[in-house]
Amino acid sequence: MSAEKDNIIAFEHVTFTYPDAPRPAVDDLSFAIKKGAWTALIGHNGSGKSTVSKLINGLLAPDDMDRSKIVVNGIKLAQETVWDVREQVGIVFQNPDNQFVGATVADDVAFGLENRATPRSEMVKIVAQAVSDVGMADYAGAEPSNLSGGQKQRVAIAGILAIKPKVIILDEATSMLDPEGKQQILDLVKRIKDENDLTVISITHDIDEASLADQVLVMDDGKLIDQGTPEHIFAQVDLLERIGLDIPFTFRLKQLLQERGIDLPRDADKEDELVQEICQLNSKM
Amino acid sequence: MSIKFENVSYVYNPGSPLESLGLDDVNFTLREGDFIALIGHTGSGKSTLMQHFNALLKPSNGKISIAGYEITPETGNKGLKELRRKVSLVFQFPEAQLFENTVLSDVEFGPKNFGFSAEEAERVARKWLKQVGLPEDVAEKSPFDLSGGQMRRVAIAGVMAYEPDIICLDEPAAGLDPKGRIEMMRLFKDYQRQGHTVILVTHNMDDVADYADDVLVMEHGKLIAHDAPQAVFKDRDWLKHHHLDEPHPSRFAAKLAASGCKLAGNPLTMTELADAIAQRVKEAAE
Repeated sequence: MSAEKDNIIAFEHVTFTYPDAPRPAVDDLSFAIKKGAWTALIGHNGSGKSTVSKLINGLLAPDDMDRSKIVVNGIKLAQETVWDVREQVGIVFQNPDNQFVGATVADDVAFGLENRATPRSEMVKIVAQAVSDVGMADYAGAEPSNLSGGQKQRVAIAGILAIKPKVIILDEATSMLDPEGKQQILDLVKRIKDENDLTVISITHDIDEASLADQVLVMDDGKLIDQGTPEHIFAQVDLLERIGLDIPFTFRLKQLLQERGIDLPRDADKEDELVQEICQLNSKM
Repeated sequence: MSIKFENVSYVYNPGSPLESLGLDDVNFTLREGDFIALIGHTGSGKSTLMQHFNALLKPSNGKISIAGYEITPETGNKGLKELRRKVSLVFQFPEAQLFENTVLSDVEFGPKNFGFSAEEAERVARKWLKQVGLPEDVAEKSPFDLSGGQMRRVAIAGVMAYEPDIICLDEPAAGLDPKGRIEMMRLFKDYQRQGHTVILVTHNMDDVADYADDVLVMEHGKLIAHDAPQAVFKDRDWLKHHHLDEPHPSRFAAKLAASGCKLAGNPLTMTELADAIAQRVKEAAE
């Protein structure tokens, strides 16, 4: 089937339970992600989002490998293929301080290549390229501990680029950054996604980050409860409220205005559209 | 009583090649009982300033008056324990500092350290675990079996349990989901309403608009503004010049104004924005 070939990640009936947990963290989950797409996986803390990212690259294994199926870039995840799968997937984690091993930025970026026994001459080239791709060339010799949070996340991304994966997962990778650092990381990921033909999965509860996606998957209690375009998902104020996520600015404002007797068209969900609607309301009256 | 900084400077690594100025002649007076926001970029001196509130860092120059204490460059370490019971700091990611076997003993640690009896420590620990929104059955669990958001609450309960008069928190809601973030902010607002002073270090301007009575703005170790949120967020060009964000509602009001629909005043919160729009529409109809 051609549709299957377009998918870079597919989950079929995946269930995972943490040891001693009363309920599965991921419960009979099935979904597919298209090659080259930007997908946002949203849900509150504890909804199972991060467990999904660990299942994708085999850091966790489903309860029953026979009943659950995970396919990454055409490779079915199994004990024998887990290292092949990890070649395809790079994860940027939430806390920039928890993912450094190297004494300098360049050492840290080289770590993955050293693990793969890349020849030194080649390694030097790849590291220099990756460090410059993320805009950190001036810091190649710097100690990671002296960098800001945003710079640390850029180094983490360089380490991933060096391995040339097909999929990059941002596991709440911007949630600890200040607004400027956050924007820089998102701009960077957008650029490297296009340049390297990557598939991006961003696990987030930041509504602005999720709105960058082509597709949004909504998780609650280990289950996929909805999926669709950001416009489709964000229009469901009740759903977002129920699972404890932020309601986008325009929807909140429309709600408050409605309470004050001002009805605005349902489909005005971009800020600029709402500005026009409000200004028209003013001149019409 | 007030919190007063007079000509406070702080020098990192004095006399060494790495010498740098962390605080540069900072002067302000804060009212006790206020909810104060401390804003500024990474590296602006916010954290350095915060550590002066309970003499974790002592000024290189100047004088600080806080909670009945005076802190000067000559202040020794004697008597600081009582100061730190009254003025507590909660650093970023305080969950990294949990260490006891059970949640209950972790929260009891602070009160016991400050001389509460075992019974009293248990009573306040259970009370504050509930106040921070944790279910009763977590008390006997290992803190390391909890989710990140729950661990954060345990760490904060551990400080609130001995009820410091002044609590200073560095980005306490970073990394929490939106619901957790709102619950956390309401917890601090309630703590303030109960008669305590809350100082919040934050990047989130919407939180500043929604919760703060007073705002300190730091840049390069200097205090560049100290005023109520309405005044701090009034001058758009000044904010831009200092690379500071505006609250989302006032950004939206600016867009409306640019499209020829100027609102009265400068709405900072969602409620203020909705009220101002409603008022304008009503006036247009009359």
